[in-house]
Amino acid sequence: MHWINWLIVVVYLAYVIIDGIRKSRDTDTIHGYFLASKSLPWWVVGLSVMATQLSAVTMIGTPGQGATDGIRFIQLYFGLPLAMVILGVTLVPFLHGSGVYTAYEYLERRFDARTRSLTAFLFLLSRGMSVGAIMAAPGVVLSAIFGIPLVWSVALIGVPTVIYTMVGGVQAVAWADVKQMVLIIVALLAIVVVLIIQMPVQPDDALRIAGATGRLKAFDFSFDLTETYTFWSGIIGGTFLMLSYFGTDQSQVQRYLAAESVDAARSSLLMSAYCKIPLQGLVLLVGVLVFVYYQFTPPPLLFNPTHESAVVAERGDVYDALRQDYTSTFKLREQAARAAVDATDENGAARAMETFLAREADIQAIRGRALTLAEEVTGEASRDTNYIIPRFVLSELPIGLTGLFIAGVLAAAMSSIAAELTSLSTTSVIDFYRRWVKDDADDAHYLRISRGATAFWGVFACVVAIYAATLGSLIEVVNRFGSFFYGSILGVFLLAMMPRAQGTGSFFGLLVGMGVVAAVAFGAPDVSYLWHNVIGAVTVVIVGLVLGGRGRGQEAQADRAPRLIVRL
Amino acid sequence: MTNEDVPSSAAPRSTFKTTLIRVLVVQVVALTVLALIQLRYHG
Repeated sequence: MHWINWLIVVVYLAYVIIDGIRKSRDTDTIHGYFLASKSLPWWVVGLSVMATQLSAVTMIGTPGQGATDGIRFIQLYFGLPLAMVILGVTLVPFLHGSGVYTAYEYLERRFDARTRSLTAFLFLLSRGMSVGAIMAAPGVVLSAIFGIPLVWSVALIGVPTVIYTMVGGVQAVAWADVKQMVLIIVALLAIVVVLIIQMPVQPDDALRIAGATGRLKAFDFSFDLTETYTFWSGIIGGTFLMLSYFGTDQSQVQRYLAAESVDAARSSLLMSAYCKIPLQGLVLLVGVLVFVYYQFTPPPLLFNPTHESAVVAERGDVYDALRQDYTSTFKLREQAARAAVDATDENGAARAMETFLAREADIQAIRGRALTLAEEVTGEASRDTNYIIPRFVLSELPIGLTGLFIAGVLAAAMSSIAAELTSLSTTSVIDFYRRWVKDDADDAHYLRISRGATAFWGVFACVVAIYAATLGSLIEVVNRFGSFFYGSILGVFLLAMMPRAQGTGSFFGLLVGMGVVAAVAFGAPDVSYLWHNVIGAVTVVIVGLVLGGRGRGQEAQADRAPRLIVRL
Repeated sequence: MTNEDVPSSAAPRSTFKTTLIRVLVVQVVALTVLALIQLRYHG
């Protein structure tokens, strides 16, 4: 990469650390450290929520998905606006007004300590592993693209993030998120503008080519439980997923708990409701445009440079033959694409498009053979979707913009990781250390423990990321296990809104909900994970209400605690 | 349903309705744009 691009990346990293330390001045209490003393304006929280949700995978993997699979992924977000509105009138006012540090802390006030501790433990288990995976994903890609050891790429992302998160707490993280979000949007818009300028055909023709290959199909109305991205899974499953994520996941809840008022907290979530679908559309559009761009500019046969080098070294003869085939077929496809664009009558355009689609199928078949070859040589699954955008950025973008995009990827990674670290640290200290170990210490003590917890989780995340390849199956198991209880935890919070529900029912409802989702996941593995959230939440609510009986102690406790009453 | 911890006047409900309508309008516009793109370009 050109030194100017590296300079942009280094300046960005230095700025993030310096700014984070600068923002740490007001964090001399745990209220300041974990909740920014409830001082953040709505737009800071709103951008922070969006930045947290937008990880490096979104910057690298989602455009790659747009390039290979089109924009149908956007259906996942169809339920988000409704979920934000529901949360704005239910959970947000209660959690913000109840003075809690974590969502799970509220569950003890409403139900009992075991429900709180179980949900908090499940959060630590899943997020502890996933933060490593969030760091590993861009780490592996940057390592392969720049040819540097994985340890270095993980350190590039992890060290600055841990420093500013540990020193500055939520205040530093939220303000860093604002700048990171701006950087991400600028980088995405810049790449779209460059793509449109460099595209050898008009935007309308580019979209016609993309549309002919099915990449502009945004809606799939089939009611198929095994299909992940359909209109119905997005509207129903997506709503439950977003309710779970934004309403019960501490990494999100902590953002709006730090808002200066309930209205600010609500407004911050509505920013996502308004902007998420257009933003996700922009990310996918980048991928679609890159796909069209590579109709007229020869793309690499394998986008993962490490795999390409390995294949060339071990099966060079076979790979050369494939590459020759690929080059000649590419020329035929390019001719067909140009003929489709240049056709003056409708019949001619249709015929040319048919030829183009046949050549496109040939290209995909050759790519499939190359990917299989890479898999045989490296012994690794060779889906190179995540490498399409980095390769494009490095080889096709002008100097400066490449650095901007790489800084954007780092920003996306760091904002997500920082949110995870603060939430893991908060849950560890508030829901376990202060609850079960030492509940009478002074603020300075808790602040020291909190910084230590943040550092611990940061180091833990880096270690998991470095050993991600070795821990691959373990991470997968934990992630899969995580999907078992995401909807179930939502079910517990839904029960909290219902006057009849009590601690025993909620606790056992949570266990039964997780069991039912596990049974569905293993018994009917084809059912999309989006439906697991619906199944888990509904099961917990039913079991919780059926078991609704309560002991006297719980009764007294439940009557004192505020309830989350739905007023819809 | 009742709740003593959160203002329960008509004002929040009307704010919620206004917000809900705004969000739904934005949602409908976004989905319409996607539908138009699909109708025009999807083969």
